[in-house]
Amino acid sequence: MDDKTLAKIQSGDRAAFDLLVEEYQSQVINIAYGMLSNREDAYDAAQEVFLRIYKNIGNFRGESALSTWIFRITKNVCMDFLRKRRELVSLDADEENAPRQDIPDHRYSPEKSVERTELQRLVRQAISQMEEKYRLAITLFDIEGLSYEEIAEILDCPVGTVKSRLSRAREKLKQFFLENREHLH
Amino acid sequence: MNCDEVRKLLEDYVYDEVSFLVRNQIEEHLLSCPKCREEVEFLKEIKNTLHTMPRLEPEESFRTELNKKLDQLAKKQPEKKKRKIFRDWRTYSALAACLVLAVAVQSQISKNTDSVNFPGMQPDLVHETNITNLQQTEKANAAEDAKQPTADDVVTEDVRKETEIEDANKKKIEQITTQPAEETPKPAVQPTDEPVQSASAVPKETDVVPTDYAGAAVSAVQEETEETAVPQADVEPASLRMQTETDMVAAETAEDAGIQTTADSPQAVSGSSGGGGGSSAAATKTAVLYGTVQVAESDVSKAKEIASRYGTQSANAVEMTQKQFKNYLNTLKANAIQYNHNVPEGDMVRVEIVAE
Repeated sequence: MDDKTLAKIQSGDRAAFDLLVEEYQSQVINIAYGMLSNREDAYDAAQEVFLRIYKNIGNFRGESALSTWIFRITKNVCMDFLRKRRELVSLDADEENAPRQDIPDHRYSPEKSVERTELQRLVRQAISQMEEKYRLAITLFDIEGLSYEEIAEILDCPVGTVKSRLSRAREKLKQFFLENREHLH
Repeated sequence: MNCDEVRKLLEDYVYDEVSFLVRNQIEEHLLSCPKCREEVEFLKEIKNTLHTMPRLEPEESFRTELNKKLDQLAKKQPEKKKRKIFRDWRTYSALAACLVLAVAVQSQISKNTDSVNFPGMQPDLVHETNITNLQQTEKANAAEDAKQPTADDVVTEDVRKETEIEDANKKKIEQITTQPAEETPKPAVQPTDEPVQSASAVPKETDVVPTDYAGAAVSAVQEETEETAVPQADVEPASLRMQTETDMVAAETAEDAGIQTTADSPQAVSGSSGGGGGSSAAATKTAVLYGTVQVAESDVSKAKEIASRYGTQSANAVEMTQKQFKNYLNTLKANAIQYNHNVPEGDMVRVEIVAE
């Protein structure tokens, strides 16, 4: 996205904003899908992401890459979604003052999935049951193909932390595979 | 390299993150170890699966729906912008009003203590009175002396009023100033055989009125002032206006912040109303100056979290000393959080963190 288009977006040009949506929608939707493991939620979250971008684009001053800024908003929106889910879960369970923890997401339902092979389904399922930080790391790196540096910037943590999270995530993935190997072939 | 050593490095090997030397060592080991080869195949399979995961494709309805929401947002947007500018303007005018009032309080108190020669007056009070105030007070005294004949007509009435005014003023001075209020002279208890002095004291005492914030007391004194036809009486409505404006600005700021936080981030802490009233009271009594720090919406929660380490949280704002505030801004910088702020210089500041 060139500076000229960005300036147009910042001045409220809707046609220029459309170009931004066009360019980033696929990544935003798929990061959200990686985080939320649910198609409808992924689309809803992506809508919210672009609304926030539209509202706040005036504050973007180019200190980071535009994509980094957009993915950071995506991460925040997804975290909000997950927080709301947790609140619903804890309300359902009627647990007052329940300690904050990562609740594995079991909303993933293979029958509605976009995954085509058994292996892909297993991977998606494994990701959906990881803690959020591992889910995010593996989604950004392995599925979206972002660099360590960009992920570190999005997550606001050192590159070393990104690497160790990825390593832990892959370890979990491997573990999940070993446990479910009988489903394969 | 044995199997255990190689296993630890296999992930890095699969992701091409080992040095040339280590790579060679691993490959050498793999040639002779079918188990590790199997492990490598397994890891590669996971990696490739991750890299080729099917993607959700944006549906047509996604754009249509988004455009509808953007249309709605665009309708609301201009209103919001106007409000922001308005808020800024009012914030600055409120701060200016506070400053003017602070100066007024200071000079009125000095004038007050200086103009009546109370025998027990502390010498250090005289030192606090600056030269400008002395000159002004002298001029005022001269002007009032010239009006003595009219004042004489209402001498007995004045004595009664003076007592009331003095009591009211004494209370206000205690509220407003940190200077010792007990040292304020009390001409009202002077015997009535000194009519000239007590009559001339009336206008000077009522001078304190414009600095007063307590509405009821103001109106009570105001009635008295009108009867005795003090020329400075017309200052009062202005001071009342200022006070009202300060409150309105504070309320507006709080309300605005509330709207912003709820609109921009649903997880933001609610209940910002009430912060405004508190801040205006604090600003007038203990000179806690109010301001906002604006950060990018995505940084708000972090900036708030950092702020909570530097001062005491009250309502939606954090109170801290000027030094703490400076440190706080430095920490924001250190955390690469971009900010703008309109927090004025003061011993104590009350800071609210809002999204830009």
